[in-house]
Amino acid sequence: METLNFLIDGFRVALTLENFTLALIGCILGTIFGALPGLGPANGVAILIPLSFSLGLSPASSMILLASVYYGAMYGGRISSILLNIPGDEPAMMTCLDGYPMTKKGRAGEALTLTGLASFFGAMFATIGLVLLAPQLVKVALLFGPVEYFALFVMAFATLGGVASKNQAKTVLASCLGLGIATIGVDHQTGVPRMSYEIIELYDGIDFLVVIVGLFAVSEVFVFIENTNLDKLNDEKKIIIGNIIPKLKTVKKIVPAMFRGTFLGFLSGILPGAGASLGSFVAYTFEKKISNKDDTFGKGDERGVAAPEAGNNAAAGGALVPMLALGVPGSGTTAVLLAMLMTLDVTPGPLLFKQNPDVVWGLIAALFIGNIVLLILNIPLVKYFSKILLIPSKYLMPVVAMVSFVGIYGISGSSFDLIVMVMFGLLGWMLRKLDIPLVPIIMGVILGEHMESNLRRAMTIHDGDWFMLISSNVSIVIWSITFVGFILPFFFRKKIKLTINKLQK
Amino acid sequence: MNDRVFGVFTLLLTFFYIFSAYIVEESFISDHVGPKIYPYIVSFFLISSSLFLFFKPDIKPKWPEFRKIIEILITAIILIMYAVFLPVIGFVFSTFFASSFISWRLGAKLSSAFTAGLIISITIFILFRKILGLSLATGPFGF
Repeated sequence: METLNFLIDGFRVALTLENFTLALIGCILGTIFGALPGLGPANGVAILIPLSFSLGLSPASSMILLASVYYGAMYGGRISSILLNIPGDEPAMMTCLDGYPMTKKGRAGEALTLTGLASFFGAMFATIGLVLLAPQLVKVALLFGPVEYFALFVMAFATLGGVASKNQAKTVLASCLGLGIATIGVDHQTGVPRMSYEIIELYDGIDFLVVIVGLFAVSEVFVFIENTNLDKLNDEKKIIIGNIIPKLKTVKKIVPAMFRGTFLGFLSGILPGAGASLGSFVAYTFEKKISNKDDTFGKGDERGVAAPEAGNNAAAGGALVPMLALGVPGSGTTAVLLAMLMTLDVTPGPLLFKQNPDVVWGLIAALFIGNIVLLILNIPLVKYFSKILLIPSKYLMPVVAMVSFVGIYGISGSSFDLIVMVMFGLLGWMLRKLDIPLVPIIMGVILGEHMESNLRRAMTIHDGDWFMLISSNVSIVIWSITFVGFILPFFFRKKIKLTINKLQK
Repeated sequence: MNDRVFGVFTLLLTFFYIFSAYIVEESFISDHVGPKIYPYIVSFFLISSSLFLFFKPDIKPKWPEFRKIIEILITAIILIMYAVFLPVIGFVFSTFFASSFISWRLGAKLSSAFTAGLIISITIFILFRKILGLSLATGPFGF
């Protein structure tokens, strides 16, 4: 009952004209960011954060705007997967497998409608799951002290690569690069400058937004410049959608697939470090295992598009659970959302539900509303969104680059930040080439300070006894999960790699 | 550059990082851990993962041809110049040049690149400065 009252209050926050407009804009922008190959949810959110700061939005409003972008990108990703066989963002990769074959059979419209439905289904259930689960997790989290929190942060990093990672060492390296960057600047506990070498601009540390926008958005410009020649192929692309109304029989056929996809996706979303890509991966492979009786998967089976789409949208919602309840994000995009809350002086984690109920419940209500808006945007209006795919990157990328610059400059007004951002753009391009994941770097930069301060607070409480880090039962459980989560991929990776390779053929 | 070279690079970077942590002057009041230990812990993992990359590298990445790399570097330099000149010559002019350049390098003809640059810079200026009220660099002409 209590939850219901909170939810009603949440709708009051979300249904104000300002917030509803922001949710609408967020959904539209998110779908666009998701649909355009190369611009994922993390990109979209990263570019918009500086703008929402500069516009002076309240924490609840910024959260509503950005979470709508996040959900929207999950919907939008499927559009280019289905129409062009190019995943709009990483989680939409699995949707290509059966989505594009459907397009080749002239059933693109149907595929878009079915995936739109599946996305709605997954996201709606995940949001309900969030409502039910997060307050419970908060109760547990209130028992956590610095020792447990430190363990939790380590767990987030150790499991970050997760089963989907290609090389654990690279994930560790990337995380530590991020954590290292976070230590630059004045040490918050003692007030002494660290690693700043008398450079005044470094005393405040490197702003995480500069790192995020540099690594994600600016590096994308370099990637596009590198692949200019490939762009010519795209000039000839034609988009034919056709009939968008599927037969009732087909809809019935995908319902069980949506259920399974949603369940698996939500689970993988809650797990730290897994995120939406894993959600859609697990949903697709599982669905294929149990439904592929006539060997129709990979040749345009409707269940093969419904399951991963339900999966990635459910995972997106699931990933908000640990982010809101514990303050420990499970994925890159939720880490960015978390960072935004911290910058607005809102502390995520269990206290968030007590101190800023308007942010939490307003956000949750906005997600419900956003879902309905997204369903409308993504089924009847999908034709207009798919037109966006026809904008050539030679006109699109300059816009992305310039808007990134505008956002960062709008906050700090400092050329130094912009230069650092370009450097990170170059670094991001290089790291992508080397197959070193960028998300752990971002998480490191964002969480580094909190992780360190929790460690040091724990040591202060326990008089510098390092063994106290494994003193409580909760912390022992967390450390065990950390250990298992880190070791397991070494055994499973080969198998998963093989599966992915097989699927991509 | 492959994983092995990158491993060596991060190893050197880590040594520099450890040195930077080592020379931090501690204040006379400090907590138990102090400002140095945590960077040391991070360094430990940096070194282990760098060594791992060095001894067990993945397959070599496909780097673009030399000409492309130069092109990317020049773009980076143009963007850095953009950052430097932004407060000097104002938003509209610098954005016009930078976005035209990117558009040109992404395959647009010079004339259409300049048109795109003009449209982009003026649209962003009107949208973000005039309508949304963001502070953009103004420069001597006020735009």
